Amino acid sequence: MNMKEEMKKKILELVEEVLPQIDFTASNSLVDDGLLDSISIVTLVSELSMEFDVVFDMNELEPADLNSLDAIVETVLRLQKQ
Amino acid sequence: MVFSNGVFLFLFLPIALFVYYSPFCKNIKVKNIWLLFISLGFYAWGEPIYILLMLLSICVNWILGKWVSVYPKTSKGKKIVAISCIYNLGVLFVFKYVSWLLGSFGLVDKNSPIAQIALPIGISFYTFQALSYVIDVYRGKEQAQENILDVGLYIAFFPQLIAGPIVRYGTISRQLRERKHSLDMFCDGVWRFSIGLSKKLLLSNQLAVAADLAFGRNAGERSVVFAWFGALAFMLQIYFDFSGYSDMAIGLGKMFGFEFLENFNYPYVSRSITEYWRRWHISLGEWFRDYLYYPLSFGPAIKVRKAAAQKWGRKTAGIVSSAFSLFIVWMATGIWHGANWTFVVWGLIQFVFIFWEQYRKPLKNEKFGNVVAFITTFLVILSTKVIFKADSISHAVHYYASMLHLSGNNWVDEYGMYWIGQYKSFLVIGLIFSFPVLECITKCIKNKRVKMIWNIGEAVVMCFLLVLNICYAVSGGYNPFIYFNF
Repeated sequence: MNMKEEMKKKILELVEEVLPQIDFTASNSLVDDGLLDSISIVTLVSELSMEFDVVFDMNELEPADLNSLDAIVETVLRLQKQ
Repeated sequence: MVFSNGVFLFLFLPIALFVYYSPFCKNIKVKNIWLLFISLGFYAWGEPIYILLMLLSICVNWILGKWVSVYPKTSKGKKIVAISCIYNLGVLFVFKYVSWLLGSFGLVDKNSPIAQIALPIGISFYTFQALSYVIDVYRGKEQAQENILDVGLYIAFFPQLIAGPIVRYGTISRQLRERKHSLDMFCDGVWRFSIGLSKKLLLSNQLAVAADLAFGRNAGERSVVFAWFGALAFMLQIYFDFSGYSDMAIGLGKMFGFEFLENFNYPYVSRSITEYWRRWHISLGEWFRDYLYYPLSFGPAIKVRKAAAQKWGRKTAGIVSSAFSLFIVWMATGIWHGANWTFVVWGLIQFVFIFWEQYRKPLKNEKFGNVVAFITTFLVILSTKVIFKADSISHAVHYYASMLHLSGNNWVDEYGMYWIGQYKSFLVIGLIFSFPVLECITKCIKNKRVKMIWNIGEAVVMCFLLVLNICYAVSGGYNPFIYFNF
């Protein structure tokens, strides 16, 4: 399993625990469609930043960064490199 | 000046439009200068002295916007944003909250000059607009405006100046430079303005009388039925008052070539308070989300969460940090609405419900659950409108006592039934139009011929309403919008 797949698995487990009401695999526009509202976004970002020790800059964060599980994985990987 | 009075409808607006579309105003820059000029005139009509405060706000925020554009997303830029917050919120604090706070703790008497400070109309709205401009430039989302007159027009544009919607600079920055004018857009604007005017004059103003009668009565003399009737009347009054104002603002914007975002989306159909706030005063909710909730949640709340996670575990940490951010946001939202303890309590109630809704579990039967959720949300909104309308906490408590038959009052009385009889038709019409009934009917009509007849019918009704509005505007007394006080 490569790094990306491993990260995806970890994130999926995390979101199933902290945001069980949202199916992250069901949509590629989670933010744009309103499935992730402001409170869910904050929960997601907080949990990701604690789990993977990354810092999200709200001035840089775009809806596209959280619109799908793959996008979330890419965002976390990008932040880890910074 | 209010949109629903004769001076605005028969003098200000026709002159504003005539000059705007005349050959004198061919160039967009000249059009903007004209709009700024009449907007300042519009404000000065009601606030001849406090207009200086608004002019100062324009100058200060234009300078801060230019300054912060040199240091976007940097620590120096952050300091400039802090200066903007201190200035804008400081002015708001002095003119809106100082006399209330000092008075609440008995530090000033009623006749002192501090207690006499009057609230400048619309200060909460234009202050938030100005603040968002500087922050958006700092965040790199918008470019600083070179021309002070365009910043002036953004802050002072008369349709949204005194009661919103809180327009973001990003929404109209392009429109300030280039915007299209068309007959279709103009007609849309007139249509939308007429809808707003009808909401205000034909429904809100009538329901206001019924609500005032119920709220003005002593608790023991207010029957249970009349108390509920009054609360419902106010709930509808404030919806038609404020959404009517927003309709008029959006309509006026269209008449001058501007597109504003929607501010209401049938809030009373909501099945939770969270949903309600996505439908009610949308521009305010989004403002607090982007400029308070996110900055808090992405900064201090994460630190709270990390500290709490080490002590109490992940789940509790999530609850604590969520409560921390939501509490601050809803206290701020409450206080934004007015300098009164009633608004503090009102904000606290919103916080409690929104916080609780995050953790409640939906009922297993979805259909039944939806009905229960709709009814309970409607009742919660109705109850919170009581404290919103009340002059003081004790006034609200007495009103709740009347609603719950706890103030030695009768279930029904002659006085209440007389006024219910007088105003029941406005209440029924108000209830119908506070739900998307017309939209549903329009969607259901598939037959082209029927659709055509329906559209003609709508146009005829609108013409009739416009005539009726004019009659009301000519004959009616001064009746300001509720949100002017905020």
